[in-house]
Amino acid sequence: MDRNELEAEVLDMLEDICDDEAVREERDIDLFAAGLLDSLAAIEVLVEIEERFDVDIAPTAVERTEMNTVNKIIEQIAVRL
Amino acid sequence: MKYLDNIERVAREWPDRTAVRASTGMDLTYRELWAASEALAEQVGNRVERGRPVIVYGNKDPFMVVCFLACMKAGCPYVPIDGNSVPPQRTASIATQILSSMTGDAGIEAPLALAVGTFPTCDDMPPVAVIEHREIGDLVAAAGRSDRERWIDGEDLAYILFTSGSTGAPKGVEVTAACFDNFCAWDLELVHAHAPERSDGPVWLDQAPFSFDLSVFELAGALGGGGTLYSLAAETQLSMAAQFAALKESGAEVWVSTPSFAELCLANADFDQSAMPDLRLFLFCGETLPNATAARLFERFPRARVVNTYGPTESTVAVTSVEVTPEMAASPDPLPVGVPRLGTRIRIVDEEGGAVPAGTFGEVVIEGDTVARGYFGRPDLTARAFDEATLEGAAVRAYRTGDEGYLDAEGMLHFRGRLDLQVKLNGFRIELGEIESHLRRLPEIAAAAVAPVYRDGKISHLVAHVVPSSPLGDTPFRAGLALKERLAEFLPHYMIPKKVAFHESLPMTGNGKLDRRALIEEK
Repeated sequence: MDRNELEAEVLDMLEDICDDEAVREERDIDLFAAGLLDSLAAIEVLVEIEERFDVDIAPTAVERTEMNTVNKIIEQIAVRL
Repeated sequence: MKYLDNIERVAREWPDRTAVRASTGMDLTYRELWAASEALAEQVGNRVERGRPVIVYGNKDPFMVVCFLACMKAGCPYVPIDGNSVPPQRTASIATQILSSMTGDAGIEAPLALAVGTFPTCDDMPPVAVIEHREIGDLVAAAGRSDRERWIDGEDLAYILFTSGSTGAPKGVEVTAACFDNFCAWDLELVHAHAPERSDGPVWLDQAPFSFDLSVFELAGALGGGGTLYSLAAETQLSMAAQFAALKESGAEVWVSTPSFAELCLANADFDQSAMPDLRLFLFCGETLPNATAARLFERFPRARVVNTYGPTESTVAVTSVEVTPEMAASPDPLPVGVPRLGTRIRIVDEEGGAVPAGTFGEVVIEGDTVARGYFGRPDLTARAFDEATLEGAAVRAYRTGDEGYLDAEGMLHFRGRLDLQVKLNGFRIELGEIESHLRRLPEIAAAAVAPVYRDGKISHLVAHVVPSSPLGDTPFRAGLALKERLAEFLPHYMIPKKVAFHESLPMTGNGKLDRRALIEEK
């Protein structure tokens, strides 16, 4: 999977979970502060990452500040692929 | 009050037992809890007339519990406000309601607030006499004694809990000392019946904010039974790693939470019996317990049992219970919410208030000795929802819940949902009308409706559908973000819709009413 495919897949995933297509444009916005993610939705993100990318990130392994924007989420997956 | 008597007895016989411990490291023994609440009760008594509500503001801190007990001993209902989830404007609305109930009191110009956290300020805040954390510490250190004549009892109010109100202002549910004691007795029975292997004074997990009455489950159960309250502070709950570490070292034997919180924990593969070896009982309330959640708990916690319960704030935490078996969890039938406790009768009625036969859906009416007195300062709302009834020859109150359910042939209650615009999101009780009324007050909004989005049959989040009064000056996303920030001034974070959708008009039904069904999404 190249970087473009990865980004496209993450964007599809986050658009679905956040229920907002704006995540495609607003890649550095804090998704928690914007009310697009909460604790439960953050778990959904981790479960989806495992299903879509076969990348296992334990909920206790990353802090909220390490996965609070679209770009950071892409990066967290990229370093584990 | 029996609850206070029980705590006093434990403080006398086992003074060094831990009463409250927080994930932030602070703790209090029963001796310390008792002495501190005695001293603070004297001070509260010196400042406030008996019966006047006292705000207790803060997050999870052992001193919050000191304040609750001090209010009970001073004869004043406590009004818990969680500093982490309740914004300043909402705190102001609650303080204003208390203040307006006090007009006519000679020389009283402001309600009293015990602020364990920093008390907020905002434009709409009425005068409040705030005792800040440091001063509470000084008052407690100075020692003192409560006046036993002032202790709450019977029909005196124990607490007033403000919940979402459909007209925009939160409404205060008045829970009496008798309701509290009657609930507490049943709470302890539940643990005796369903967790026979627990220790004598078990550790109870305290996770829900104190402004959510689910927290009374553990507040009553832990201290009423000589156990320990283990509080998960909001700052601990921010980090999954810190939260898991806290759960591991809590030694919790009795778990109390919404099913959503347990689901959050279950996402961590290490959350199991080896991480929490002492856990014996899961008590759930606040929202529907999915079969799959119960089934996963049985897999992860082979030594624990699972009890599902049901009840609104208006009937003191919960009034029905059922132990969920692995067979029930595996069945395709949704889990029932249980049979009524002794002292409660459940009736199912139709729209005219007439009883319906077993197995027929209708509105759930709760009658019994834990039904609240009514809504604070709102005789109009009280008259609409509360009534009188007779149970086993005794006069009791009755409450029309607005919940839909049926009783089966065995008297087991099955819950389906709400008859009105109230929803439960992650266990939080939300009136969609309250969010809508705040939206409609904004000049940039011409019309607004809030609707839930369902995922796998469960509400996943809320969407605000709005018609702007003038063209948007920004991208819809940015404009939505700005609206959400405006709402956050008035509403707790869990009531802020995840998404704002802008429309030219809202859908209407044939007879010209807002078509709410058209706005509800299924994913």
